[in-house]
Amino acid sequence: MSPEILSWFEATWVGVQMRGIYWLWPMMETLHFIGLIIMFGVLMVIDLRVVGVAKFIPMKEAMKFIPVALAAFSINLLSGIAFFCGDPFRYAPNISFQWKMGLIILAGINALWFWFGEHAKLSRLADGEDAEFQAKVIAGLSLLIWIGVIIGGRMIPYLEA
Amino acid sequence: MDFLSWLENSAPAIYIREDLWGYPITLSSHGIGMAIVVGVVVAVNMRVLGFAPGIPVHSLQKLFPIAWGGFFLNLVSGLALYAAGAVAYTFQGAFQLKLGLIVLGGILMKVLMTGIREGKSEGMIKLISIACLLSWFGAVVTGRLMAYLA
Repeated sequence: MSPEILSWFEATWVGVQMRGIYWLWPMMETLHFIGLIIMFGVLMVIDLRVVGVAKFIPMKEAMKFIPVALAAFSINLLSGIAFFCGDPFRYAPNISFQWKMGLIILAGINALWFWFGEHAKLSRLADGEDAEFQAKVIAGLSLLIWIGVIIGGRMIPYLEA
Repeated sequence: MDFLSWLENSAPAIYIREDLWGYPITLSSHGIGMAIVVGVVVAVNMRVLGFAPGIPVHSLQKLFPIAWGGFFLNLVSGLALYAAGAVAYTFQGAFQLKLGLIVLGGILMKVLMTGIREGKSEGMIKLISIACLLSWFGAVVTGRLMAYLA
């Protein structure tokens, strides 16, 4: 990203607040972690059911957790944008941050594939019935990619350029 | 105090502090373990509090081995991180509170599942569930704040 764009992020109201209020950064990080555990927890319910580890969960019930995952993701998207505005010149060139963003996009594509390619079929599954192979691959990838996102985020402070 | 210094100067503690990859690898493991343990706690308690009622509550116990796997990962990575900064961590309020909340959260999880099995009143079960969730959220919050509080 060009320095002009990064400067724009830095000058936003959110960016100014993030740098100006000393407790705001730790509070946002705490919120980012709360969002993380809620999102990963509900994703485990959905993905482990589809993979077949948690076949005791009725598929229809597992699908009810999808909006919760989206809500938790929104918390982390918003707090994440706040971090970026707070210190854009630090994040943009950070290799770990770039990997993390790439993985989130990949997870998003994977989620769209799940929603448009598998969701309707999965909703018709009987209790305890095995999902088809392709759906299992998507669900397994989802968990692996999000674990990658956690690693990418955790590594940001240690891979500064 | 002698013990804490010895711990800080043990080979794994030095490795974590001084190797370029020591902290990032250990902290990443700790983050993944956290997501697994507290993730299962969140899912089970959401169900207990009334979400997705079509899932039999007791069936979610089958997720516990996965949670224990995450817990073990965090015990090992947590001990390693502790060793690397034993003197400072031992007397840090946020760290002490975090450990207390993990113990409390674990006990409440056990009390919760026992209460459900024994058919305790719904109000009581939900109260324990909320306390359990708050303990685990508190453990995550105090853990995160360890980086900011002396």
